[in-house]
Amino acid sequence: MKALAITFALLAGVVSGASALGQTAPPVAAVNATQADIAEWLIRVHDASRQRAYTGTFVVSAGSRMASAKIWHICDGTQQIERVESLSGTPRSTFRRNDQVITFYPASKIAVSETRRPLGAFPNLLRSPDASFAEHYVLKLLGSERIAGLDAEVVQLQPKDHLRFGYKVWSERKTGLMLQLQTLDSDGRLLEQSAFSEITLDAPVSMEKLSTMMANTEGYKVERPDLKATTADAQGWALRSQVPGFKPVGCYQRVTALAVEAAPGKSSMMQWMFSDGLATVSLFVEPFNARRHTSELDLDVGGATRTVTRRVQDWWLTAVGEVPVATLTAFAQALERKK
Amino acid sequence: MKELDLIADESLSALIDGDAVGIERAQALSALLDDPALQRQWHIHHMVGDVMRSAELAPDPSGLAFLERLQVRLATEPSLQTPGLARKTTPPLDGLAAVASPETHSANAGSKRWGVVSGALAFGACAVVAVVLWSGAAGTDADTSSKVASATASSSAAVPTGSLNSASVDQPGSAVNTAVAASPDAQVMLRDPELDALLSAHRAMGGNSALQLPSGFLRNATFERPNR
Repeated sequence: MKALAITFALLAGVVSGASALGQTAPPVAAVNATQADIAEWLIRVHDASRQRAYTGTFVVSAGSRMASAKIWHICDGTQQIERVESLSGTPRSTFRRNDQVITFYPASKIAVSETRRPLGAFPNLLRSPDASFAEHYVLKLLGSERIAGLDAEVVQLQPKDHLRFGYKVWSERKTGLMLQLQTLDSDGRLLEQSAFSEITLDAPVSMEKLSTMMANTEGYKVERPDLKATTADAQGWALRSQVPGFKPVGCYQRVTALAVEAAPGKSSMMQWMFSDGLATVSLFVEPFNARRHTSELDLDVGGATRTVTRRVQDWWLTAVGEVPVATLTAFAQALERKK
Repeated sequence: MKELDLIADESLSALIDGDAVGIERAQALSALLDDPALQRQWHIHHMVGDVMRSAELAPDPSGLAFLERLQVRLATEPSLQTPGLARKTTPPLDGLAAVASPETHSANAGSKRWGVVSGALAFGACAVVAVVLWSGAAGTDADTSSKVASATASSSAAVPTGSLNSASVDQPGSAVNTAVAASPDAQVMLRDPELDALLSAHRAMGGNSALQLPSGFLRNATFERPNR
């Protein structure tokens, strides 16, 4: 097993090395990948999405609903800049430079500026020696396919339990960049698909131009949401039992306008996030309000996203995630107030 | 015919006052269901009561027309089966007429007609409130109308379970909310703006793994209500 892992890692190394030279490398064969293999593969996909320059049109669809956006992404080694322009729904333009994100809403002339760590501690967790991430999935190489004009290897990630969904990933052969992702339920039914309908790798995106666009807030009212990074411990919460596979990846306290209309003065909401390497769950906890919090529900809000609401003592929990309802229920039952 | 009308009126009054029982009640409900004139009287009665309590509650006639169209549209919605999703507790949404709750088994649980009628009554009663909110907000910004939409949705969403799916009063309550949130054919997808905000926050801050960076951004757009 260890030999296989090492071989895989070496092979992956060769592939990345060869791709850096711009040559095509043989596809990576992974019949029965180990945890290290999966982590390695995930890191490769993740790095590709950060370090490669590309432009393209990205489409997310679920059932008969669909949304698309144009994406520009460039990285010069130290800085990453990204621009995402929505083609569906509310017109909006999101710019991200490393952790700074600003979203322009042309219709209302509002720009929302925030600091985000979209992956939180995720990348580091993946690389840590205690990489028990993805031990709840089985990785299988399915073959090759052509997507958006590029050759991709197709990989299946099958969950080992019923607490998560399965995935099929098409990653570009040379770079590892994810071209298409399908989220599947336990019966193999398609819940959601996200894919590039067209993409240009190493496109000449001008970093200066994107930076200028990002800084140009003229005519927009800039809002900064009240958001503080914190820990669940500091907020007084803990899980009495771990939900298998999911590790905490971040916690925020936000002062929301949501609660203002219901309760005078400010009300703060905690967002506690977990990930199993592929799926994420957010636990939103706020003080219980009898007028607003009337029903404990299990909801399918579209695609792969599920949400569960429960009362926990004097608090109200809304658990959200791209996971089955059973997982969210497990979180709800495990959540406990400390002090 | 006048005698018949008089009887119908008295039955309706008894129904409104909660005095009708047994067969008389069933007959009154049956008459209400079949007779648009009686339905109009029902609306008017409640409207008058509301307006007497507060002048603000006088409805806008265009709002009533909207409700009729909405009712027609809801009637054509496919009923959704979502196995495995159970609704835990759902108190009546606005304290008005009781909608048959899927959890409780009342004496008339087996009566399909009752399910249909109670839904219609609930709709009628909620209609006045909903109309006021809806018409009041028409033409204002998206946020207000989304709140309105959710208020209308929460009251009218209660209806499909009762009035449309008369085949079973015990239909899983999940259809109520999934009909609102996930119906792929609904042109207007009405949803709780607070839930929307949480979903946004989840996707922005935590809804992204290595695989899903661009997807997280777009999920908001995928399931968003269309621009008004």
